[in-house]
Amino acid sequence: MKGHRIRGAISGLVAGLGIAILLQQFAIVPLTTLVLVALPLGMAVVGVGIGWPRSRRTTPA
Amino acid sequence: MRLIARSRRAVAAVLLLAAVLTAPALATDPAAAQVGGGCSATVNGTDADSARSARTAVVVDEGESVVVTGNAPGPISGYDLYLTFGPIRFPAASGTVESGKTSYTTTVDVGDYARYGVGLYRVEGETVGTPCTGWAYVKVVGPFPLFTVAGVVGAALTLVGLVGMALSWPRQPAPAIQPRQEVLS
Repeated sequence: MKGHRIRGAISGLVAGLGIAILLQQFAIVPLTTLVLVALPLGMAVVGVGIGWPRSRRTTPA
Repeated sequence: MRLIARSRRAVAAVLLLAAVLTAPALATDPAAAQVGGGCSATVNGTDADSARSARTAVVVDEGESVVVTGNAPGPISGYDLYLTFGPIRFPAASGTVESGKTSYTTTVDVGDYARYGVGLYRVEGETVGTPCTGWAYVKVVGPFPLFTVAGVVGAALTLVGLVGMALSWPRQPAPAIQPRQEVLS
């Protein structure tokens, strides 16, 4: 099955950036360098994982 | 083999993109500014050393001003205050002090700098003459975060990103349309 790793990674970066801003706005976590780097990168890795192509399982004839 | 090579290229591209996008954030080191020996600072009467986490941040209403005082072990000629939002550093106040003085007191109108949002901000101070640096977290309270510009931007980015991640889930390719077999008999 065809996946979309790049789309997943870019979407993960965007989502991570948004979550970092929301955490700062809700005063849960300060917007530090670590948060700004780790969260988008972590979400990008998750995005790559989501978009990774999966092999089609074939049943024996 | 071809799939593995393409996957490696894809991962390398992602890492490169992530490095480019996050490089500005690495330009400033938040741990670099700390009150040094003989230096002290207070924010609204609270010792700056004790306001360095989200839980212990100095709480300020969005319309209030923050009174910052700084003390140095020797004479200072001036001071600079900054408000930081991630890697972005806004100059908030600066001034000069009388000759021979070792301390300063000034006010920062947080609302002027945090007008687009609420939440946690970092107030940093530096003295000129006898160098001292210090910082503390300030928690600006006001409207509900999702009703602010920054909150809307954060929510929109989160939504767009999560939808994009969901759309990147592998899907079965559509079956090819078979040409219709004409019966010629």
